[in-house]
Amino acid sequence: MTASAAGPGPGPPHGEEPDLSGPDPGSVFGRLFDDHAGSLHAYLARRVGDQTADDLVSETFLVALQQRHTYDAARAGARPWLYGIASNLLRRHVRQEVRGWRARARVVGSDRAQAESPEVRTTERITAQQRVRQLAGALAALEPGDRDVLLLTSWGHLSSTEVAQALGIPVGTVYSRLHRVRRWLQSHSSVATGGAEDGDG
Amino acid sequence: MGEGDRAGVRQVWTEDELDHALTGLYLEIKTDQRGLVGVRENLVAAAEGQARPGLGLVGTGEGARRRRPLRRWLAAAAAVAALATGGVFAQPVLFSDRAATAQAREALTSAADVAARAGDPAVADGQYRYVATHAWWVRTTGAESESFSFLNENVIETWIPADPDGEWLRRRGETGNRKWVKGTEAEARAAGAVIEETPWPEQRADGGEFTEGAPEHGNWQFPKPEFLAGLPADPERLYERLRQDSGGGKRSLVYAADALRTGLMPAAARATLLRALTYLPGLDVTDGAADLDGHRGVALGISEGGERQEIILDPGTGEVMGERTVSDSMFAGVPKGTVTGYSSTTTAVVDGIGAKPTR
Repeated sequence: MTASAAGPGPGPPHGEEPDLSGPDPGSVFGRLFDDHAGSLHAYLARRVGDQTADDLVSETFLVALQQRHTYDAARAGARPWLYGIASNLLRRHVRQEVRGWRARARVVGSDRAQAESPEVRTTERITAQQRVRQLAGALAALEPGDRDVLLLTSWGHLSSTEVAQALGIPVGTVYSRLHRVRRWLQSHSSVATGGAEDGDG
Repeated sequence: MGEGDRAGVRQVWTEDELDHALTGLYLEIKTDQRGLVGVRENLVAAAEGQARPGLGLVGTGEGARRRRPLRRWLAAAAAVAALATGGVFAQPVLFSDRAATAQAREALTSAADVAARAGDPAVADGQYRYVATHAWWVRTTGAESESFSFLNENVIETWIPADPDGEWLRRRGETGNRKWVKGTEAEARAAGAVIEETPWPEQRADGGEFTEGAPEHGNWQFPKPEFLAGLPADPERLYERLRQDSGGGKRSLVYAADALRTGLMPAAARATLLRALTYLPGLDVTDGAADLDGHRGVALGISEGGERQEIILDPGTGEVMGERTVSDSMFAGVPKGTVTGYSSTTTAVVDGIGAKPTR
């Protein structure tokens, strides 16, 4: 839990990128894991849940270990490299993720609002919670590539250049996708959850 | 309720409201990281197993072990450079903090004049505007323990009806032309790597709404008539709008190229946008005779973050022929002036949906 207590921080500072091809992979990968696993897990768990996130973190680091000789610190930091591997692996769980967002669009906010003390249940707060719920519904409607760009930026705290490195797409594509998806969410989040609203009565 | 809802619900969130909702959603979801301890143990055991010969998960020989990743990247860059047959002659970029360089302003203004004079090819009822983009993109594919990289040629074709609200068609696919950068096709196939993409289905959509969530009134990436109608007619104010929408700098050029490439901008709007780019600080003529698929054009570029983004104008028509990214001197040791990404766009008027231009 320590990593999530630190919140959605930007991860360890970029200094020396690790030499992953060194003679002592055990300690190198141990350090790499300590530096990045917590924030990567937090990111993945918010998308597909804790259990799948455990598996994905494990697979990500094993793929990284297998591909360590192709890791190029001059091209990309370790963080975008790892998030890129994880993003590929995450594609196998798209349906599960979408189901999760749809379910969340129906429940997030309502139960949490109950749990809050009456003083903080101001209109403003409830409006904000409704938005969170609406956003969850809208995320379900995004194309997986758009969702990756948005959430790697917003939750993974990757820069546009790092997102480009992670996903293997041109940085211009990151800019335009991010712009497009943000604009769409700004105008469609409420519309996209219309069904969920009705279902709740 | 129906009418009231329809009129009232479309509330548009501000940037802040969206960010707050994203953060709120992040914080709503509690996570449990206790499982990570075991994951770490397994990883370190696997890593230590790799260090001992014979126990490794990966059968990498000494040669593979010593391979310098930078060389692979250089090879990728060189392979793209080989595609742009004319090569690139990097020129010193004279930065101006207030506008594009005099040379760039001249090239843009003259292209704008040509574009405005040339007008638009008429698309009669039943005819279609055909826009084809050829792009070479790097793809990396992995098998169990190896990864392979190649440059992959893609073609995206779009048919736009005379009435843009009508049915559009888009086809996208690989041409099968590949240039192997790391490994060979035979090696990749032998290792079981997936080389071909899953074929893209042909898409048909009224009004060009191919993807769910396309902006209702258009944007720079999809400049519908109502979007274009809302843009300032004055070039300097148009630049200011472009800067604000895109975030400025290199992105301004990317956004302008996005719009120009669609084939949706009438000649007058193209001319104004080219004139707007004369206000883009740092924009310069970076190659007076850039070669794209055998056609010569003028490359205008802006450098940022170790890479130069370029658009290539056809001086004869004032149209954007293509785009390139070119490494700058500071980029990861790749020689300055190396082309690292490449695409070209052609447009034509054709007689039917799905019909190819005859030349």
